[in-house]
Amino acid sequence: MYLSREEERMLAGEEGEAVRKSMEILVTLGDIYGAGRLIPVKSAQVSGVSYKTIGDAGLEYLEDLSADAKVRIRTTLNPPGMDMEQWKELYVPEDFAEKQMRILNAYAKMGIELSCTCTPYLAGNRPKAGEHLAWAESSAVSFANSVLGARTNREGGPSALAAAITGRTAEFALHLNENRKATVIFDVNFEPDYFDYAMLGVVAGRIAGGGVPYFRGIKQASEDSLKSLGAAMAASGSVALYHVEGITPEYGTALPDKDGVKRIPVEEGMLEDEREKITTADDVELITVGCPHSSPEELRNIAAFLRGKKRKDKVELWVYTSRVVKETEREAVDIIEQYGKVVADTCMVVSPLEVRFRSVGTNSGKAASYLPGLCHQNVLFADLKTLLGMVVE
Amino acid sequence: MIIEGRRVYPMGGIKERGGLIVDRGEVVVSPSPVSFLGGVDPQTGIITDGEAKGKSIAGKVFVFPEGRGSTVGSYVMYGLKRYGNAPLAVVNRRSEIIVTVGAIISGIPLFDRVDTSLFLDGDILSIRGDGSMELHDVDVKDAVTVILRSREKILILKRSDKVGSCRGRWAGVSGHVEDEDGSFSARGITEVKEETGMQANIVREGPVLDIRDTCGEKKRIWRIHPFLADVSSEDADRMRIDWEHTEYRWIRPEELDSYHTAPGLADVVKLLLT
Repeated sequence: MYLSREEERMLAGEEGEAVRKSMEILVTLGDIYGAGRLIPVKSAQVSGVSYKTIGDAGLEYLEDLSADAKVRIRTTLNPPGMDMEQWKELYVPEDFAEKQMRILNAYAKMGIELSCTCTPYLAGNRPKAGEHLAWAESSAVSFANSVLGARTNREGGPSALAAAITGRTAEFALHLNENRKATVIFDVNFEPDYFDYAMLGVVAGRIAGGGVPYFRGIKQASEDSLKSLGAAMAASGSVALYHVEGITPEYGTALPDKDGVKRIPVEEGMLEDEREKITTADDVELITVGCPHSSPEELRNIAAFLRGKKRKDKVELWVYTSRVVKETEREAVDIIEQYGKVVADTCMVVSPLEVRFRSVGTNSGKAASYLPGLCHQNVLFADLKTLLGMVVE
Repeated sequence: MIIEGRRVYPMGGIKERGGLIVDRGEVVVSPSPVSFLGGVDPQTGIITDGEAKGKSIAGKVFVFPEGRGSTVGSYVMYGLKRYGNAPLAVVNRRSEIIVTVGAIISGIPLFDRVDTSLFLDGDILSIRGDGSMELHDVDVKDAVTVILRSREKILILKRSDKVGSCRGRWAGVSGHVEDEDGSFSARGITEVKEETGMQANIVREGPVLDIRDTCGEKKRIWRIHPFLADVSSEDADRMRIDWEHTEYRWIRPEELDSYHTAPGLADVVKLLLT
């Protein structure tokens, strides 16, 4: 791989041990994946934040690294395992909270913003088309590539951190035009509504695997619908980029010149089959909404549905969002908090829900995919109105 | 035995590395892919999951096909280093991102593009910076294996108690080759005549295959020269076996899975028939 003289010096350790190690990660991965050079990245988004997922091994690594590591570009974090302000009310154990704070402190020491969200693009860091990034959260990677037209591979925690510390990443895979072409075409033979996108994402992700899906037949889709679609495909498969004909910014150049891309028709009935397959509970203790973190519109929709209705006692409601959105949408938050909790920073997948709950309802294809394995939950996968209907009369 | 691998880490780039990175390290093998998260205890260095469960990798050369599982595995490798239980080096068939990143953040040398099935626990291995490795005290011997075919079936023979290795296991017609034996195909035809009385008509020569001998007493790798040969149905009906075998069977290739065979037989059959 070609390195500039400055990069050679960084790799030689002239800018400290953390920079040297980070360069080693980028250059070695670049060599393995055939990158020709390093390119500057505009921002980084780092995964491996929840104590629940990275454990003591990750905590110790980050604390050691923070001794001399400093980030050079705007860097934010994925959700940690708890709401930083109201973790006690959310049944998070004391020792978990202590370890979680140590992880966050280590990141803060490196100069990383404690903006912890899977939707940085809704919380003040909205990349522009063509910008190169090093983002790790799979749903944010999908949104940045597909909906915003920015360019990022699906980074791991340490490689995103290496990019943050050096301001660079290796140029391979989705950073290059030729790898952003469609590999499978889905012909959607109906007009999906908001919840359909979650189910469609689970179906399409499983079929596409690590490929690049191209959707045909969708006439209009809100950003929230696309956020839900991409998150589900990144969970049931490992889709990091997709195109929607007539809607997403790169669809015009997405089809390869030669024929031979597989076409798969999607009927409405396939979605309901998928929903039933994933659903393992019909009576749940907790309703969780906001995976990925709720947008301002989603919070307002929930508030509008709940407003004035009478609360049932049995089922709890937790709505997840980023702290930025929680603070700017005070009116919707105040209404939702009469019926349940608005939880910031964390989410249902990376927090220790299992200490209190056994069954959860969600309208997220991503959460429905991960809750059984990561939180030992039985899952009701249903649309927002069905779920909220279990909370209010 | 010299094995050519590739150095992934430590990096070259600035000044190439040539010398010994591992000097006579002891090998520990996991035959299946390894997830460091949940698969290795960083506090003890002991493997806690899979076929290699219970073995320690601390201070050893850890050989396995490739990494798998959670990306947190990279941090577990760092934990091994931190608690003094890191392996001397890691040798993979294919390096993937979790083990690669783990090796870099922990300073553990990593090599790949090596046939990891050639190694056994307790082997002594030296590794040079250019990726070449010496497996000490393991000799390499040429051998021929002939898979005989008649009426869509292949012949397997059960090795007797009088042969040098892999007694009681099923194998093809085989024999080791000394320097003065001439061509490998001629040697194969002679072996078939001796062991079965049949005339072999060689129809295909497979690529040379190194197979670790896991049933003999010697530390040995067989460099197998595989051949596929047809025999006539008259010959097949008249065949007889000599002292080297106790039984024989004509089977369909897919039935091979249900027999306890000499190491590598399934690979040889697959290479010759596809």
